[in-house]
Amino acid sequence: MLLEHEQFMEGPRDASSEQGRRAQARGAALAASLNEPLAAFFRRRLGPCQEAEVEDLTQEVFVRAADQLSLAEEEHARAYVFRVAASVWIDRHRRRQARRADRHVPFDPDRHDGEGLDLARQLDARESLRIATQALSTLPERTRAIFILRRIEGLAVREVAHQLGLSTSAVEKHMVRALEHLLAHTRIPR
Amino acid sequence: MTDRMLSDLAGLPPDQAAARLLVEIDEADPVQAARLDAWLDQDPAHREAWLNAQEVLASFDFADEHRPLDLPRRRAKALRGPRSVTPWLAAAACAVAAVGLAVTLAPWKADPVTPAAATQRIDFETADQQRLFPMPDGSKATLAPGSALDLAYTAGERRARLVRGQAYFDIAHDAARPFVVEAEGRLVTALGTRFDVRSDSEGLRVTLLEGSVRVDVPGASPAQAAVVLRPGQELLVAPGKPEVVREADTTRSETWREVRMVFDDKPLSEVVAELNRYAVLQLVIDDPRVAALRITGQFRTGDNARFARSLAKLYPVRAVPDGPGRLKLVRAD
Repeated sequence: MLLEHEQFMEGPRDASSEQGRRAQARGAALAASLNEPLAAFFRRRLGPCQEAEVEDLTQEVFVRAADQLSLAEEEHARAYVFRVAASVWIDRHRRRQARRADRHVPFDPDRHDGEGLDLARQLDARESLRIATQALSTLPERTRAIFILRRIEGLAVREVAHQLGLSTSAVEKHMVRALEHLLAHTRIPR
Repeated sequence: MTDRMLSDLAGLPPDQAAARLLVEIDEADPVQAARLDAWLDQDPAHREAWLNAQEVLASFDFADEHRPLDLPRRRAKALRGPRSVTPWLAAAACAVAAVGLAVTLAPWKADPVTPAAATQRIDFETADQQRLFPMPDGSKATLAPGSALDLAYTAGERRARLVRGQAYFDIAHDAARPFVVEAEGRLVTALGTRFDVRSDSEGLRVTLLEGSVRVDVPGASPAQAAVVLRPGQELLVAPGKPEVVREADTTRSETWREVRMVFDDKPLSEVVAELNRYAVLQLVIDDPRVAALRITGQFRTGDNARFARSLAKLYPVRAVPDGPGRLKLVRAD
């Protein structure tokens, strides 16, 4: 993986032209400036003291996004890199769940001390999905549909807005309501 | 995300604040990311609520294997709003760049791998008339009479399967989410490009006009590598013959999908509304005198810039840019 990363740092292979050199310099500069924001993105999700994994995930984003980094428009490249980061995060979650399912790790009260932890993290993801699905079923239909289209079907906010003839801010309000409802119903009351 | 919103968060329970931040914050924006971090650092309960919300959202990664979600998902996909019959202008505004892609297909053959396909819902269908369908990402599909198209959009891919008939696609560019057409057991992946796919009794033909496409055979042996075409090339796949990649006559694939419309003494507003359905570039009129001009003639669809030029030669109007992807028709005097 390190090798691939180095290849990316060299930029596009067609670096003979002036244009190619500029694109290469742009890509390298953008990568340098995105390193810390990406690390922060994963740190926010992994919690503290996970620096080795933060670094691995950040590297993976650069490897996957290498061909897009020299894009002319920095805004576009930046947004793209963060979308790649989101998919790297989802894939990491899937890999971990697959491993967990293989090993059938039982619930361990010592490792999962009840203090500060919640139902979602104590149980297998499928169990937590079962509970979340139940909570989803008690939402108003439109709010439920918006959550499903956005989170499960993977539509963008504007795509959901388009399908339902709503404004994007209305879609976001429904999303907030759905998520609040899910959080309230998947937690152990304390 | 403004200062006002952040102070609003201060009064909220951590779960509710986390829900808002997850939906509204764009972490790609350094300013917003910094505000998120400030909130997370404020209180350990904040970080705990945020991580918990991430876990709850992540559990939906397994939605495909969770049968109780099947029905709510079908209903969500079928749900339409009162104003969603003509909201496609909004979608067109989002289409940063559009590429063209055309597909022709013989009647869809039963697919033994996915028996569920037989009962699958069809997203778009035409009877005896061709029709244009706006798609949720801002792309457009024009279906020939007797055609059916099935869409499967996910976070990582926009997939279209031509169940039967013929379709022309005007695709909104999205580098992070390729547009993939399923035809004759092959997957044609548009990598920001214009290409033409045709399938009939003689086999499959993929012609590349611009950019790059990859053609894969799903489930093929590693030896059967994907074909990547260069502009001006075409791939021919005929039953019982080896695949051929050769230089193409690209004009052939450019001309077949040309559509003309005839108007007989119609108001310009009506003509423009009709032409706008076929093009990503939108024409707008807000002067009622311009809207009322009577138009008679035959026009090519899908090229609104050209229509505006022709119009300016014959009528006292001219076209002025009106934001991205829009041309406004105004009086020339």
